[in-house]
Amino acid sequence: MQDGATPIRLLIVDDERGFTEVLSKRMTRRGLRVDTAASGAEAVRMLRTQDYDATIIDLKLEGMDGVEILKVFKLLDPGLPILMLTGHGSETAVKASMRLGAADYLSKPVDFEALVAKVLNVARQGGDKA
Amino acid sequence: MLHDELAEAPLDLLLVDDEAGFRDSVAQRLQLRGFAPRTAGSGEECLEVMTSQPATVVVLDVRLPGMDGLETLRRLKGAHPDVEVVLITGHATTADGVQGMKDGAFDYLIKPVEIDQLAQKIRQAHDTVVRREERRREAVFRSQMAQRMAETERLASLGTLAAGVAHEINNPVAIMIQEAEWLMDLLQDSVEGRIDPQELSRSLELIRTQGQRCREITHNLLHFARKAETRQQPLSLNGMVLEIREIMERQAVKHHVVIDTRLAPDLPEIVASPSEIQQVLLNLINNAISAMEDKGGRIRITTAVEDHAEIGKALLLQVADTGPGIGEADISRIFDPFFTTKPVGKGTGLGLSICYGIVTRMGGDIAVESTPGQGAVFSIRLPAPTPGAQPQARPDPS
Repeated sequence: MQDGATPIRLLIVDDERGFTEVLSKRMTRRGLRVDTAASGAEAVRMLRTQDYDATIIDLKLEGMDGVEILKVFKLLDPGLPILMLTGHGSETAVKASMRLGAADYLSKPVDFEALVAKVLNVARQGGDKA
Repeated sequence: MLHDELAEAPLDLLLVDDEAGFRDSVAQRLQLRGFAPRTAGSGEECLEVMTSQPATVVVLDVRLPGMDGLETLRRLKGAHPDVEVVLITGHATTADGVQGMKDGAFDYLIKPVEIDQLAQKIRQAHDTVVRREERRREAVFRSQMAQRMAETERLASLGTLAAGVAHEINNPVAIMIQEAEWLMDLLQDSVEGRIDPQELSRSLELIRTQGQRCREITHNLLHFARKAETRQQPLSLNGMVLEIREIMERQAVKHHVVIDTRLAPDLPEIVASPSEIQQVLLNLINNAISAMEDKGGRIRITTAVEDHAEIGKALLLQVADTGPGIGEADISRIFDPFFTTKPVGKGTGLGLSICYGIVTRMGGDIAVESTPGQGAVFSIRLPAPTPGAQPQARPDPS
């Protein structure tokens, strides 16, 4: 559970609905407020109407891929901490993401506790910066 | 050891003449020039000596009592195809020399023999033996190399496939783990281990669905692996195309590539090794996907029956992409072993050379056309089975 009065608002961008749904319900139980988006377009729409403390973006998405979404997010909200989810063999894309300003990354399959820890961590850092 | 194996065979010389005086004097004079000839007095003795300890070069008089020189020559070449024979003929029998050349003699000299000329002929004959042995070793080495290359490439293309499958399986596995942990979360927070039955059955249902998804992926892969037979058998080219498309579909979609097929409905079956056809298709599709992975595109696989004036009916298998195409400098080297335009570590540079090998061994032909900026078209033509004849499974030639 969160210590602060206002819960952390998290956006998860991944086209694997089953995955975003289960992450969402588990994160919610940990006291986070979670939205999900299945595509770059949907994610951008949500970011325009909502403020988030952190976001998780899957690197491999159909249509606009994770790195492109990262670039757009950095333009729309430069202070928003972004966590990239990567698969194996995406070293180049990971390096590109970090160069483009991603806060951190995690390899799939992710360990839920590690993911929660990273989200809390980057959200706090983002909050400090703001 | 390597040096020993590659060292050339020593010059082992056998001198065959029935006139002991002539034979010994030639032997002596050859010894002075560094040779160590053994001798035989008749064709029969020559064959006998060769059986117990074969020489590399035989100097053979055509005129012999009993089995004559030409008959000895034929039997010698029959039993020891590698031996080189220098014939000695009289003035009146040069026709024998010519006949001897037709029967495989290295050369013939006319009596009286000039000893230095004979010595030179013997050395030349021996060089021929050595060179032939070298060429044979080289051919064996090359074919072993080719086999190793084919195996390397097969493993590489299977590796690419396996990586794709692992990727596919990762997502459903992640969901199953998360759903199971979700239930554990609920259990931990519950009173006396009670979980809302609706929540429980929803999670279990999700776990089952994702498990089924994994099963489907492994099922496809196993089906593919079972088909990895090198034995020649009647098979449907269209069927193979559809199977590979199903396996490659997800990987293609990930790279924004659409695979579509235009398959001739009346395509006759061919006799081929399923694993080889798989390998050719996998290589061409993998190449097309990596050519287009930046911007996406379309792969069109076409099969057709063609009628050619020169070669008769042929089956056409075409893989066309809408990628950047192949530069003029690259297109002539594209089937060369180890030629690759992929970054270091990404490609073995063997895929297309292996495809080339497989297709030509089947009596077919592979060609590529490309206009830079407008994609590449790989066309494979295979000889059509003779009409009427049912394709039969052939035993493995190896």
